[in-house]
Amino acid sequence: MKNIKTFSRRVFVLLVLKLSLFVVLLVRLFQLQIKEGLHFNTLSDKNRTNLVPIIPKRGLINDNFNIALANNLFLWEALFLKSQIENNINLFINNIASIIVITEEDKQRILDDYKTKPPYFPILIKQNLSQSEIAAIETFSYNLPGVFIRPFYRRNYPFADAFAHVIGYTSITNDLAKSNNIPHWQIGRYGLEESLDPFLKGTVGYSKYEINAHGSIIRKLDQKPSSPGNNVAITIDQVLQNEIHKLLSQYNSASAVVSEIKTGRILAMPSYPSFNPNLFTEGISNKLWGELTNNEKAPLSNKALMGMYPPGSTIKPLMALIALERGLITPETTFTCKGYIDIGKERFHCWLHKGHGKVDLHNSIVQSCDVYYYNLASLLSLKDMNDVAKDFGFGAKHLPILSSESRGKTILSDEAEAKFSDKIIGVIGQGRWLVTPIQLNKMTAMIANDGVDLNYSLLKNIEYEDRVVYPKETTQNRVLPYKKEHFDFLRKALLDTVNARGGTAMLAGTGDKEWAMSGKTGTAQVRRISMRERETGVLQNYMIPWNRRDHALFIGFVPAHDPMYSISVVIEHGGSAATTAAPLGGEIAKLLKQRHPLYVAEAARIQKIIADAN
Amino acid sequence: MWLRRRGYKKLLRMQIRPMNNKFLNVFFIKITKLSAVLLCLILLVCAIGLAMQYSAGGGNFYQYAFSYLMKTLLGFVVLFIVFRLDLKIIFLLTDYFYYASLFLLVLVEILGDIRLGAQRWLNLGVFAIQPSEIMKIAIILMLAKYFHGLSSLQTGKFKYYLMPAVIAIVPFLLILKQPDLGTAVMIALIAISLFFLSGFRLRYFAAMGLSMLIILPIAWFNLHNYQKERILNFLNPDRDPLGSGYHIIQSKIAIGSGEFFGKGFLKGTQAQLDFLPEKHTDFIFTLFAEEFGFMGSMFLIMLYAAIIITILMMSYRCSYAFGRYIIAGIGTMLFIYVFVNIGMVSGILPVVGIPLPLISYGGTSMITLMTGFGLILNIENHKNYA
Repeated sequence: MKNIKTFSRRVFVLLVLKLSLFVVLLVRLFQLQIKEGLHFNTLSDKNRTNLVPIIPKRGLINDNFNIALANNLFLWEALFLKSQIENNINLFINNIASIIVITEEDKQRILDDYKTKPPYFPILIKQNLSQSEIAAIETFSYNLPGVFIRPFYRRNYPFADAFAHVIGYTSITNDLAKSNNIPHWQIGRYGLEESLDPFLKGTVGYSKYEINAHGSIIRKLDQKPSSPGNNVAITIDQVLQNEIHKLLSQYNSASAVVSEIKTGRILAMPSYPSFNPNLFTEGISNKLWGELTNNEKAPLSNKALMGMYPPGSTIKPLMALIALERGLITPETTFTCKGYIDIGKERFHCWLHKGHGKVDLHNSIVQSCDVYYYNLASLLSLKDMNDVAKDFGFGAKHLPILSSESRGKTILSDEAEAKFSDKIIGVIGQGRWLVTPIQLNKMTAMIANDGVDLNYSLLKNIEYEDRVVYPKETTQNRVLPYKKEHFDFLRKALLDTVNARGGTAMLAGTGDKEWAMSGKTGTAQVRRISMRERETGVLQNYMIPWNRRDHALFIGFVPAHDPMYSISVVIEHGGSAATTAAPLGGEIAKLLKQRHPLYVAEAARIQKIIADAN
Repeated sequence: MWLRRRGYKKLLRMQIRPMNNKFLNVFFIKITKLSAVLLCLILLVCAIGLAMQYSAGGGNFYQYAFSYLMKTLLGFVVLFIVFRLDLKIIFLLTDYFYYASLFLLVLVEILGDIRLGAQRWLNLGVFAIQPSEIMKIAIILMLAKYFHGLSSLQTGKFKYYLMPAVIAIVPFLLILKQPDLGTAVMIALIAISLFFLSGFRLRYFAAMGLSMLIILPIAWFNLHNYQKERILNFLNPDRDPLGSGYHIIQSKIAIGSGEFFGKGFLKGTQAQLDFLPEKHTDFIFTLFAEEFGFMGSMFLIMLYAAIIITILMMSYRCSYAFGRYIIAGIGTMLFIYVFVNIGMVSGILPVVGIPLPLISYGGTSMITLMTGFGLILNIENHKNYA
């Protein structure tokens, strides 16, 4: 009977064990259902509801005359629900391919998505459907369970390359699209699209549906409409920008900035070569991206803001100005140019071999005599040179609305201590300087405007639902404490540089007395000319590889008697500025003359609107 | 065989005593009060099962509920047949039954259908059977018969446990190889519980546990990838929230969102909107917990506990070892079904594919359980053999 006793005892031990394990289950259920019940209830609600985002229409970007520089295309796309595919996915793809054209790449993408995406995630079949494809899908819809089409907006840039650096581009947000299932939600990635994104993007609306695990909609629970982004207008003139872009495209790599002197508004800011921003909205291929990034002409960088060059002779007016201001020289001070000057052991050369002879300050600008400035260098201090450059906007950013603008370098902004030789070559704009086209433009505008420093602006207005908001009146930073007669002297010299016989920028002339150009060329050396090369004769630009040739610069303003438009041009490795950059500046001046009446009329119209509103 | 002869002599000594007035008369068949209680509890659970199948079908009777009803009725027919079998015949045929099951297990290894990635089914043309299910009953009978034959002096001695160990380990290994981890573990646990009841010394259990610890790492490398996946995902369901972790995450959401009172019959959003996978089979408890909350889950677990207590009481009252072991074995089997199923859907055990007894949709486990209940009622009615 020992058997039965053991059995009876152990049966109860077993029973107690089982019941205590049931208690474990109850504790677990208590934990899930009572302690964390609310949390799981929320999760279950989240499960059964699906927020289908309603993507807002992105705000337009218009030019000064309300021509759209960035708009939205209304397109259709076809998608399918993974959970609705009952049979083989390959069969399904073949089925679809028999109705609409699907590339091999698309097929592969559909297969990948089918394998990796969650069951409720609609998978894209094809974007940008043609009318006939839409019709075909509608017609055969009985044969294609789970396939549906829906419209979407895609960002479009009608002028493609010409505005890429100003307008920038958008691309689909990958992270958001993945987590919240928001397709076609475009985020500004570059240029104004990026900086004005808060205005342009609008707010996403949604429809709240009850769905089942297969993503099929059971019923609609709630809806909130989207609100479109604000349209913005910018100060750029589409015609001017396009025309200048066309002019720049004659060269390998160039950029220009045109601004209104009296208001600080940017009228054109092209950079060549450029890229097609439409490629980015569709999702750029790795191959194209590689081509863009590896291109030695750097199509992805906005040279008008980011390109940094030694200013060359374009800095001479500033050097003359500071020497006058400090009382180191008078306009009558003359130096003799023999074509070179020996300072210490070193010999410094003028660009004109035979020398300019006796040169006064006026002629030193007109003929761009280097020796005159080498003499000036021994009078000027480095600090003077640095100060005047800073006063005229070098070493600073001028368009904070666009990211990635370069600050450039003034002669003292380097950590390393400047030597005397730096001063000597610095005075003719070589060596340690690095300036951007927009800084050159700023300097020109300030010379033309008696040293009045205006903030540059690119934004004309922002349209809200019920009103149009204009930014504040042009803000005046400061007026430089330089004498007006000195500015007058400089302007006269710059006028003669273009228009007098023997001026270095003669080719920039407009041939129109009423619309005369004042300006200055600059040739920035990229390489050092060795003694040996001097002896054998300086190599001409056409004899050396493109990327070692000199940069050609030109600054100028029109009309000379009443300056309104400031122009700066940089042709990278363009060779001699007098024959490349200067004529380009002249062409831009001619374009400005044509567009001028329109600008005046538009400005008057806006004035009137603002006055009426007040 | 010595084993059969010795047991048989013992059984031959038994005599049927006249029925006493403790028996109830149900449909002209006399049963004990405890049997009536057990039958009522089973019927109650089956009623819950029917309701849940109706709910799993989204309120459509013909989706799952009708078929479930048919299977349950078939189950009761089986129960009745087993109930009416002569215990002596069952005792005599136990060995053949066990060897036949073993043969089927080998057969399934050779020619079995592969369903859901595992080789478990034997196609008999008309219908498919799962030999591992038959084995659950066979091993209980076989071990019960063996322990029945042990004398008081023999119990607890190690050498007398070598034979039953072989009886249990051979089918265990065969089922593990199919692979069907759930059933294999179940058979092992049933065997261990019967060993325990027969007086197997506790220190041997300790030794077994120790050796398991050594074997475990070796076993890990022999598991199929999907089993490893399941175990890893059990340990961390967020590892693969849309793949194999999906089941358990959705299941926990469903159970938890039921809170105390549940969302109401037919109103479980997780289940009704198809977020729950296999909601009518292995995961039916999730649906129940979602719709009836903690209150309902508590009730259901108590119901199962009541059945298990009843069964153990019957086992306690049975006057001969063969009956006692069978009843206790089947009680343990039922317990393992319930515990592993609820444990796995609530995320404290890995998902091993064990249904909730009498509620899940599925014929095989229903027949196995009904056979078991038939055996229990049969023995209960003849508890006074001695």
